[in-house]
Amino acid sequence: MTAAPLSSAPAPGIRALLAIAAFGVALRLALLFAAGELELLSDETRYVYLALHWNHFGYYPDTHRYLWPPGYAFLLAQAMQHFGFSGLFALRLLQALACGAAGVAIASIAQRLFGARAARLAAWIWCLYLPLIGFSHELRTETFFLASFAPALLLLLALLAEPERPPERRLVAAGALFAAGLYLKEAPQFLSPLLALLIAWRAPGPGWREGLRRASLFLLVQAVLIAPWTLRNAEVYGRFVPVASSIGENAFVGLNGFYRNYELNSYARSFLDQPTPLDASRRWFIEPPARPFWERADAIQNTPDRMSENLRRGLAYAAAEPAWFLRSRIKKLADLVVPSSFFLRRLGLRGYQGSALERDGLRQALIVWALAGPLLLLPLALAGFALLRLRAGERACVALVLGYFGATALLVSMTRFRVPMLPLLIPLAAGLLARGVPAAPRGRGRLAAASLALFALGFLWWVDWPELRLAVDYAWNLRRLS
Amino acid sequence: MSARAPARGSGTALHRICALLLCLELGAWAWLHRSDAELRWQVARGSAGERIDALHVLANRGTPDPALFGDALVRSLLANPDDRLKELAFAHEIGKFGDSGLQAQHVYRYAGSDTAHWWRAYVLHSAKVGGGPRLDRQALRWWFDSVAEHPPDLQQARAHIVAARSLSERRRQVLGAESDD
Repeated sequence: MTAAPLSSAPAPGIRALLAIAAFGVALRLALLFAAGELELLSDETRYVYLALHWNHFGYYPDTHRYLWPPGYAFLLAQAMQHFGFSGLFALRLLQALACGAAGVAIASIAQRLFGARAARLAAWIWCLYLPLIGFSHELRTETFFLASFAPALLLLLALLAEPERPPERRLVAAGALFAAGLYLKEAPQFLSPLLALLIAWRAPGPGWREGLRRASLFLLVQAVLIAPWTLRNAEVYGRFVPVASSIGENAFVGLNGFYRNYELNSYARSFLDQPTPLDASRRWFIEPPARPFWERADAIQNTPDRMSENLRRGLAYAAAEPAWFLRSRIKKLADLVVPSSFFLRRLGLRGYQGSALERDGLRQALIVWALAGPLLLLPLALAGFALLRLRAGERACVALVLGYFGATALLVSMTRFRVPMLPLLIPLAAGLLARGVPAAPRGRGRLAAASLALFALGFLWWVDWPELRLAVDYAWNLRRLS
Repeated sequence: MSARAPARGSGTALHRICALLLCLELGAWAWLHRSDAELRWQVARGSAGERIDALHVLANRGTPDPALFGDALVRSLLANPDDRLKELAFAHEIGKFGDSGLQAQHVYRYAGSDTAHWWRAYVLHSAKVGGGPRLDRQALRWWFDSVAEHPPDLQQARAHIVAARSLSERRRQVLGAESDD
C-alpha cells in the first residue's frame, strides 16, 4: 500500500489553519455574545436537571427514559457549581473555544484526503457553517463531542492510510479520544468494534496477527477508559451498560405506530394554537398503520431492563408492520438531510428572544445563511464521495462512519444527528471544490452514483419541504409564544 | 512504498498495561461494591449523604423493592430536619414509585415557613418525566438564590408557579399526556 499523498500541493501549514480556526472561534464568540442569555429548550432542561441533582444530592440520576452519558452533565454541574446561574453562559463560552479543536481536525482531515487547497477550503466551510456555529449556543453535547470525535477520526484515517508506520501512538490516542466522545454521546458505541475490524483488515502483512494486535489495542484503550462508568452502572443498576444507553426510548419513538420528530415537537409545545411543522408533513410517509402503537414498559422500574423491553417491543412491532417500517424510514432519512438546523429551530422557537439576533434584517440574513450551509454542503459532499479518488482504507472508513450515523438516524432522526458526519462531509465538499469534477472519473459508474445520490437527496428534500417551509416561516415571521 | 520497516508483530506491552488497568478497575469495583443489606443499613443509620446515596442505588439496582419507597419513606424524608434529605422526597428516584400526592401537597399548599427550601422542592418536583411545568431561566435563577438561602419573593414565586402550571395544563389538554419534547 503506497502512502504517497494524492495531492502535490504544499501543506497549508498549521499556522494558516490555526489562523482560520481562530477566526472561526472569534466568530462563534461574537455570535454568542450577541445572543446573550438564552432560554432553555427541551433537552437543555434535562441536562440542567441532571446537573442540579448531581450538585445538590451528589449522585447522577438517569432521566427515567434515557440513561444519558455523564460527560456533559458533569461539565454543566461543574460550571454551575463554580459560577451559579452564569455557569450556563460559561459553558457556552467553553463550547465556542472547544470548537477550534474540531475546526483544526476537520481541516487536517481534508488535508490528508485531498491536499492543501481542500484543507483551507474545509477550514473556511467549518468556520462559516452556521448550523454548526449554532451548537455553541445550545446546552447540548455536540460541540464537545466533535472536539474529541473529529481528532479521533483524523488519527484513524492516518493509521489506515499509512499502515506501515508504527501505529501505537495513533491507536492509543484515537482510542482515548473515542472513549472521551462516548462519555458525551453514546451513539458511536457500536461504531467502535466496526472500526476495529477495519483497522484489522488494513493492517500490513500476511495473516491476522498484526491486525488483531492493532484492533485489540484500539478497543482495550477504550475499555480501560469507559470501564469506570460501566462498572458504576453495574453498581447502581445491577446491569452492565457500557457508559450509557438511549436505545429503549429511541425504539419507542422510532419503532412505533406513530411519527415523532423531536426537532419539530417543540413547535407544538411552544405555539399551542398555531399550525406546526409536524402538522404539515406529507401524510403518506407518516400515516400510522391500523395496528395500535405499543406502550412503554413503564411497570419495569429498572431502567436498563425497561429499555431492553422497549427495544424488544419495538423490534416485534417493526417485524409485524414491515410496510409501515419501510415507509417511515424514508421520512427518517428525510429528517436527517433536510436543510434545516437547530439554529433555525431556536430562532423560530423564540430561543433568542430579546437578543440582537432576533432583530429584523439580521434575523432574515441569519436564516438565509443557516439554510445555505446544508443546501450547499450536502450535495457537494455526496458528489465528492462518489467522484473523488480516495485510498481504499480511507474510503472504507469514510463510508463506514457516514453509513453508521445514517443508520442510527433510521431509528430517531433530526438534523442534529448530522453533526457527527460533519468531520467527513466538510472535507468531501472541500475536496470537490478544490479539485473540481475529475475530467475522467474511473468509468461511468461514479458519475451514475453521484447522479443517483443527488437525485435521492433531492427526493428527500421534497419529502420534508412542507416542514422546512413552516420552520423557516416560524423564524422569519416571529410568533408569540403560548 | 515507505522506506520504513513495517511495524508489525511488535510488542504487546500496551495491551498488557491495559489488561492490568482493567483488572485493577474490576478489583476496585468488587472491593467497593455494597450489597443491598449494606445499603439498607446505610439508609437506616448512615449520615445524610450516605442515606441519599444508598437510597439512590436501592431505587435503581436490580428489581427495586417498591415497599421501601412508599408513603412512609416520603413522610419520613419530609419530616427530616436535614434539608437535602427532605428535598430528596421530590427527586425522580423516589417519585417514580408512585407520586401519592404528598410531594405535590408540600409544594402547592406551601404555608410560607422556609421559602428557600420550598423553591428547591418545587424545582426538583418539576423535573417530572413526560411533561409537567418546565424549568425556565427565572426558575433556575431562583434555584441558585435558594441554594444560597436567598429565597425569591413569595408572591412572585407563587405567580410564577401558577403561570407555569396553567401552561402545562393547557399543553396537556391540547397535546395529550405525551406532551414532552
